Amino acid sequence: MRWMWMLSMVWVCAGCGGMAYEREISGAREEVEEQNWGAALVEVDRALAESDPWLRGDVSPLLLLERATVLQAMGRYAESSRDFRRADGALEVLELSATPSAVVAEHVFSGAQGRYQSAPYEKLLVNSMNMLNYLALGDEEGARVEARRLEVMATWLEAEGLAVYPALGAYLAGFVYEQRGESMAALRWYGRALGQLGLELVSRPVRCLMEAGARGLPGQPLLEVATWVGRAERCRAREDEGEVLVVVLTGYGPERVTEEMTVGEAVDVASTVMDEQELAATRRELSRHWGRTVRYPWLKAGQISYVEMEVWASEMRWRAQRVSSTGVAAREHGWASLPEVLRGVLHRARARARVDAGMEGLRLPMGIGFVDVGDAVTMQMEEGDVPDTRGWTSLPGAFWVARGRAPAGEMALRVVGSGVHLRERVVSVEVPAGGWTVVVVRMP
Amino acid sequence: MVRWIPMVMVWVVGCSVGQPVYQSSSEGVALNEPAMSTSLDRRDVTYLYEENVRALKANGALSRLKTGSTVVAAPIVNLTSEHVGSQLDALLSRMERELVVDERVSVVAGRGHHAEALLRDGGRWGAGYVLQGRVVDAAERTAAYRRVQYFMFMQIVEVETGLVMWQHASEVTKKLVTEGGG
Repeated sequence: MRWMWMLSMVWVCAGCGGMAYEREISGAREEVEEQNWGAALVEVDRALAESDPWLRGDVSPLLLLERATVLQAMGRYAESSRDFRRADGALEVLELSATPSAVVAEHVFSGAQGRYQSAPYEKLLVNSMNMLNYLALGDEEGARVEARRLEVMATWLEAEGLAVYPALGAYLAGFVYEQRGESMAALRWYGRALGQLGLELVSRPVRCLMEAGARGLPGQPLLEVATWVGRAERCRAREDEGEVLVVVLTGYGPERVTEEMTVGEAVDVASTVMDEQELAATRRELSRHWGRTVRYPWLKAGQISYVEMEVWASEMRWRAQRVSSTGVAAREHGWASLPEVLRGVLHRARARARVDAGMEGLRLPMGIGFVDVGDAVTMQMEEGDVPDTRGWTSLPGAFWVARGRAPAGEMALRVVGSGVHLRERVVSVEVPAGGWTVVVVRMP
Repeated sequence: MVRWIPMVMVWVVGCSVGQPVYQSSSEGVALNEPAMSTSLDRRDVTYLYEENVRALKANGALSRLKTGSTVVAAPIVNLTSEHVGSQLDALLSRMERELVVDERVSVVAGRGHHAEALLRDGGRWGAGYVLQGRVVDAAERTAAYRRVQYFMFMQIVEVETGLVMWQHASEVTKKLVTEGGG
C-alpha cells in the first residue's frame, strides 16, 4: 500500500511539472540576441498564451518581465511599464505564497516545481528598469513611485545582507528627485550611487544640490569630495538648452543553465550550510550514491561586449559610465547561493534514496520477467528532478549612463560602444528648453 | 476498497483546478472584499472620502468659506510606493462633488496645475481657495510580508492670505502577508 502512495505522488508531481523554463523561452532568447525585437515579442506572447495562468502562476510573472524588456527595447514604454508593474505585483504575491504541495514538490521531487524566487539583483532591476520607462515617457510621478518601491525593496535586501543599493536605480532615483526639486532626497540617492559609481557621473548634480543648501546623510562623506570634482560646470542650465540623460543597455544577462557534479562534491559544497546532524544524515543516506551525478542550476554570465561607451551630441562628447553589470551581480549571487541550492538538490537525492530503500525487494511482473519497483520509481523521480533554470533571460548584461546639456530642439545622438565589438547607434531626440529628457538605447 | 478512495482523489484532483468565471457586484456578489493588493481599492477610497467629508462638515469649515467664492481643486499628490494616481483622482472627484452639492462655493477642477502654482497664481484666475492634498506612505517589505501604511493629508487654503481654513489627516494600512505569517 505504501508504495502505491509513492507512485501516486510521483504521478501527480510528474504530471503537473512543465518543461524547463530555459527551453520554453529559448526561442525568444535567440531572437533577443539577434535584436529581432518583433520576433522576440511574438515568441514571448506565444509562451504567455501557452502558460495557463491558473496552473502556471509561477511562470507568468517571468514571462511578463521578458515581454516588458522586449517592449522597452522597441521603445513601447507605456506597454512595457504596464507589464513591469504587473510582474512586480505578481512576483511579490508569488514570493509570499508557499502552498504545502509546492513546498513538498520542491523538497522531494524537483527544484523547478517550487515557487519561483527571483534573485536579489533581479528584484532590484524590476523597479530600476520601470523607472527608466517612466523617465522615457517624461512621467516624473510614475518614476518617483518606482524609486520609492526600489527603496523599500533595497532597504529590506540590504538589511538581510543580500544586496546593496543598486547603482543604476540609485542614480536614476537621484535624477528623478533632482528634477522634482526634492534636493534632500536626491542627494540621499546620489550618495548611495556614489559608493559604487565613482565621482565623475555624480559630481555636478551633487555639487549643485549642496551649493543650493541640501545636505547628505551622516554616512555619506564622499558627497563632500564630489563637490570638488568638475567645478567648472555650471549648475543652472541656460534657457536655450536642456538636460539629456542617455541610458544605454548592452548585451545580455546571465543565462541559467543545467550543470552536473557528483554527490560527493555536492555534499562538500553544501556542508557549509548544514549542521552536523544534517550532514551526518546526508552522508549516511547517500553513501551508496557518492559517485552518482546530480544536476543543479547555474548562472552563465554573458559576454562583455564593450569597455568604453561614448555619446556624441553634435560636436560634444559625453563619456558614458558603466553603472551596473548583471553578469557580475549574477556571478556573486550564483556563488553565494550555491551551497543552499545544492542542499536542496541533496534533499531530493535523499528522498529518492529513501524511496529506493523502502521498496527494496519489491518487484512487479512485466512481460516475461520482473521490474524492480524501487529502481523504476527512483528513475522516474530522477528524470523529474529538473533544476530550477527559471530566470529573467532577456535582461541586459550592462547599463551605461551618460549625461550632458545640449541646445534645445531636435538633434541626433550618436552612441558608440567599443571593446570586443565596435558598434554605433544613432537616435533622434527632442531636447526641451530648460527641461530634461531621458533617452533609452538598447545595443547588442 | 475504502482505502483506495483517498488515492483516487489524489489522482483526480492532482492537476485539475477550478475554471474561471466572471462576476459582477451588480448581481449582489460581494466583490469588494477581501483586499486584493496593497494598493488602494474602492473600499479604501470610500473610507478616505467619508473620513474627509465627515471632518469637513464636523469642523464647520464649509461655513467659514466666503459664500459665492471659488474653490480650485488641485490633484492629490502621490508620494507613496504604489501607483495610486487614478484612485486619488477618483477620490478628488468625489470630494469636488461634495463641494458642488453644498452650493455655498463654486468648484473649478485644477487638473494639470500643481497646488503651488494654483496658490501662487490662483488669485489672478479668481480662485478664493485651493483644495489640496498629498498621500505619503511608510512601506516595509520582509520575507513574510509587505505592509503599506498610507497617510493622507487634505487642506483648504485661502489663496489671498495663505491661511489654512481646514485640514485633516486620515490613514489606511494595507498588508500582503503569508497566511499564518502574522
